[in-house]
Amino acid sequence: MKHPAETALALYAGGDLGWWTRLGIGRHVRQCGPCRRQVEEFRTVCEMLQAEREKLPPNLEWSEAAAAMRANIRLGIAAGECVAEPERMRSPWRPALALPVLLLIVAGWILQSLPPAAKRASAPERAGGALVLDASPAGIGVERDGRGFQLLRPAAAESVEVSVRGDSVRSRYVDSETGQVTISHVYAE
Amino acid sequence: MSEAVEPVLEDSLARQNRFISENLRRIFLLVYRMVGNVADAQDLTQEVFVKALQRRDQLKDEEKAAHWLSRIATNTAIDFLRRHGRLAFCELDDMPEQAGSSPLESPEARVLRAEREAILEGGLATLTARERAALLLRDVEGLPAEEVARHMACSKATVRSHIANARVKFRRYLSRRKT
Repeated sequence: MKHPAETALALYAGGDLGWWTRLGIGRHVRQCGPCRRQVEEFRTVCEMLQAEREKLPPNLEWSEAAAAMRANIRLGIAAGECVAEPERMRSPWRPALALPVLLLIVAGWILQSLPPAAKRASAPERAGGALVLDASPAGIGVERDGRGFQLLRPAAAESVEVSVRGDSVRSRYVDSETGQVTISHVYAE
Repeated sequence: MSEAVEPVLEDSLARQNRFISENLRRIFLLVYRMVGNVADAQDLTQEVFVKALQRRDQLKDEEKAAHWLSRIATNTAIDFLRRHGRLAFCELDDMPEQAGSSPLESPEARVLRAEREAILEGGLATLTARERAALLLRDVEGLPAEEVARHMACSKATVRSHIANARVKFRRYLSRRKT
């Protein structure tokens, strides 16, 4: 005979099974002595716990304990309200603070969205030095306040053309060995 | 204006006091069975009521409020047991003279009561926090498994598993005591 699991008997004893499972286990329990004993023991556990429902701990004077708890609960609620009060008082200032913050954000956005050209135009003025384009047989480059760069003529270049147009300088080299043409352009901005 | 506010405050205070009086013993016993110690049960019971009454707008429906309070109590006790690891039952020999016992109670009855209490506490001490909560809500509070599942924020299957395991452990504890 196959016995139900101990946990199934525990649930059966407390009436915690679905009706179909309960029916099957009930039929088995009626025929099986050891399982019936187990169910009775589980029922004893349930009854024992139910019997303790209203029983207070043996060493407790309930009226005194209840009075102390009531007093502490009121104290706890009052303390909670004291802590919560400043929060509530601060809250009307929140909209007033929000307005300057909003204005700052809008001002920042406006400054950020200024046309980039306007910012660039002012840059050479702030730097204080003029921009110099440099073109020579050695190469072309750009320089301001002693700082800049130069694109040097390759050693194997046979033919060299250098020209200046407005705010740009251009060089054209032809490699004597490979015939490769290199054109470089430097713009002043 | 204060005349209009005062009756509202009085009404609210009276409702709050009634709510505490009606539920204090039940919640204390539930927490005590879970933590197994009077001092901790008193502290936790107070914590449960403070938590509940700080959100008193949820107390309009008194029946729902009582269920909600049990749920707060269960979770507070489970959290406490998780933090502290295990039950803190005091030894019977260490118990102070039983102030709450009736002077008419015979020495035999007192011994029997202490014995019953020791069995119950010993059995509950063998369970995990969640098994204990499930067993107490089902067998002591008499809630159906669906309601226990709602209290413990888990599925009905999980709750049934906790209840079954708890009853098995408790039965084995009783068998060990007999032998």
